[in-house]
Order: sequence, then structure tokens, then C-alpha cells
Amino acid sequence: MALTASTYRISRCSSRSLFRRIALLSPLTLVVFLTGCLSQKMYIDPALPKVEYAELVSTGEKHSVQVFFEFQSKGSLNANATQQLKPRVLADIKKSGLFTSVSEAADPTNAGYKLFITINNVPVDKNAVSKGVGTGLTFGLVGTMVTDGYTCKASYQRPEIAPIEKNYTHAIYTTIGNADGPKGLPPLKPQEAVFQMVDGFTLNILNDLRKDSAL
Amino acid sequence: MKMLKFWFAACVSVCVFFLSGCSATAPNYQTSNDNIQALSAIPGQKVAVGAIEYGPKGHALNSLSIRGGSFNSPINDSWAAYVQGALESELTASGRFDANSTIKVSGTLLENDLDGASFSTGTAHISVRFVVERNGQKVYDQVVTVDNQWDSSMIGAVAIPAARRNYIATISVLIGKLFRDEEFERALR
Repeated sequence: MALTASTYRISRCSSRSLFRRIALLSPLTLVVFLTGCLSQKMYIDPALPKVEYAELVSTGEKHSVQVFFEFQSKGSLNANATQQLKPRVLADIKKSGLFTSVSEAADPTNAGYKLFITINNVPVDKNAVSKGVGTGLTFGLVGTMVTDGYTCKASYQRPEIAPIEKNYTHAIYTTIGNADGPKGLPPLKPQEAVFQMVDGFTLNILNDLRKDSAL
Repeated sequence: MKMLKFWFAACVSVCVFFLSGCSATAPNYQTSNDNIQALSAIPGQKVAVGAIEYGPKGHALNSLSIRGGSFNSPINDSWAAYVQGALESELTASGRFDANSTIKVSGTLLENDLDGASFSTGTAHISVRFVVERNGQKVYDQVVTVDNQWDSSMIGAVAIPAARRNYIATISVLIGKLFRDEEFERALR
């Protein structure tokens, strides 16, 4: 078999030098290719009251409503997350049955009934990135748990009546690699956890507006 | 010497892993609740939206990149068109848009910068001259400028999404600044 120039050069390397190179390159290669495989589990903080759809019984006349939803990261508009989570919020509000119709577009039938919901992802762990890198470099042996904080601000506006404002807080815990999650909380997949956080906020807003006899 | 070459190659590999980006298209603009509430507080008629044109710097303003990867507008590959679309979205969501209105907002994109290269702070700088015409008469002509900054990172996987997200947020802040301008408010009344 004919040897190419490069294979010939390699064949001339001492086996010791070659093994040293492989030994040095392997961790780097593994870091690059395997870090995405580290297990990630999320846990929903239990502090926000659990509201069931069955509790959402209207206390007054039903109206149509225009819903405005915005997801922020550290107080700034996060267009991607807003786009992904808006359908979930609209579906939750429709499912509640507290409005005759629910839309995100301006509609004459809304007659001035507007519900603004803003969720803001705020940092709780300031060194979350460095903790995550540490976990990645040890292939998950040194696990990490980080906390994502969320605040939610809602404003329900009706014609000629002062708006009703509501504020809530929530948290999602994420473990990466070999770390224990909060005791007593079931692990969830990332999308499931984020949806539960959004559902929790939305149903609490609706329930509290209902208790205020606004719905 | 061989070890030196090896370490150079390894460092380059690590840098590529941590710093590199790739071409990306921005998400569709999403309206801001604060902007809609600010606009809703302004009494007056509905408004049409004219074109946002490129200023003296021309289509060079269209070229944004983050750590070697281009960042493109989803509307005709034009950031001027994206700003125009954002303005129209905010007006539409607040029930204040009418393509046939005698009041028209148009503009000129003067500055458009995005810098996500720094390991510590990312920055965006956008400047637009907005003009409001009522029955063809100019009633508002102001340059609105926003300088935004955010925490960046050495790690590309953190810094690049942050730069993309915060650039779009900068456009949202720009439009909010226009809606909160008392002269703009007077022009719409």
C-alpha cells in the first residue's frame, strides 16, 4: 500500500509523542462533543398557589378581551420567548371560559377590555454561567443547580374603570449533571417546566381577577 | 516547537468553540406592553405608517454581525423595513393603525450598530429620524436615538443569543421613546 506524505510523517512520529497528543486532545474533544449530553432536570417552585380550571367560575357578565403578552429577560423584550409562549397564554385564557372571546388583535367587539401580562426572567444566581461551565468541564460529575426567578405583572383594563394590577413571583430550579434537585419536587423536562410556570401565572391572574369580581 | 504548534491549534479550537457564531435571522418583532400602554394614553386619530428609508450611510447599516456570524432581518433582509414593521405592529396592536389615515409616520434610519464582541458588555446603537405628516404637512421631525447595553460573556453560546435578543429589545426601546416624546404626542392629537 502506498503511503501518502502525511501518513508517512505520522508513521515517523514516535508512538510516545502520538499518544501524548491523543491524550491531550481527547478531553478537549469530549468537552466539545459531550457537554450537550449532560442531563438537565427542572423543578417548579411550589410557592405559587395551584389553581384548577374548575375554580374559574365567572362572577359577572362575560366580555371579549384583547390579550397582550410579553416575555422579558432581565427587563428587556425577549421576542423569541414571547413568540413561543404567547399561544400558551392565549390557550389558557380561552380554556378558562371567563371571556366570550380571546384575541391578541384589536377587535371592535373587545370594547376596551384589555389584559396585559408581562413575565420577566430575572437573575437569581449571578454566577450561573461559570457554574454551568464547571459542570461541563467535569462531564457532569460536579453537578450544578441554578435558580431562575420570574416576576409577572398583569393589568386588566376596562372602559371607564381604573385598571386592576396584579403582581406575582415564581422560580424554576435547574439541575445539570450530578446534582440533587429540591427535595419533594418532581423533575420535569424544560418545556414542561416553562409551560407550568406560564400556566401558574395565568391561572392565578384569572382567579384573582375573578375574586375581585372583575370577571 | 511541535508542542508550541499543538498548543496553538488547541487554543484556536477552544476559541472557535467559545467565540464562534453563525448566520441567524431575527425573530418576528413582538410588541411591548409598555409601548402599547404609552400609545394608548395618547388621544387622537389612527395613524398610517410610511417607509423607513436608509439615510446617508445607505445599506451599510444593514450589515450586522455578532462574533463573525451575520445577523439578518426577516423582512426583505432590511433592518429599515424591520423598524417600519415594528412601528406598524405596535400601532396595529393598540388599534391605532389605519393605512389610509391622513396622519402618517415615516422615517430615515441614520445609525444601526450592534457589538457583541466584548466579553463584558454588549452594545447596540440605533438612530432614526421620524417624521409625522398631517394632510401632507410636516408636524413632527425629530431624531430618536437609543444606546443600549447588556452583560455579555466570553462564551459565545451565552453572548450571541444575548446580543440578538437585546438588539431587538433596542428597537422596542426606540419605538417606546418615540411614543413618549411629548412633541410626537402633540403631533398625533
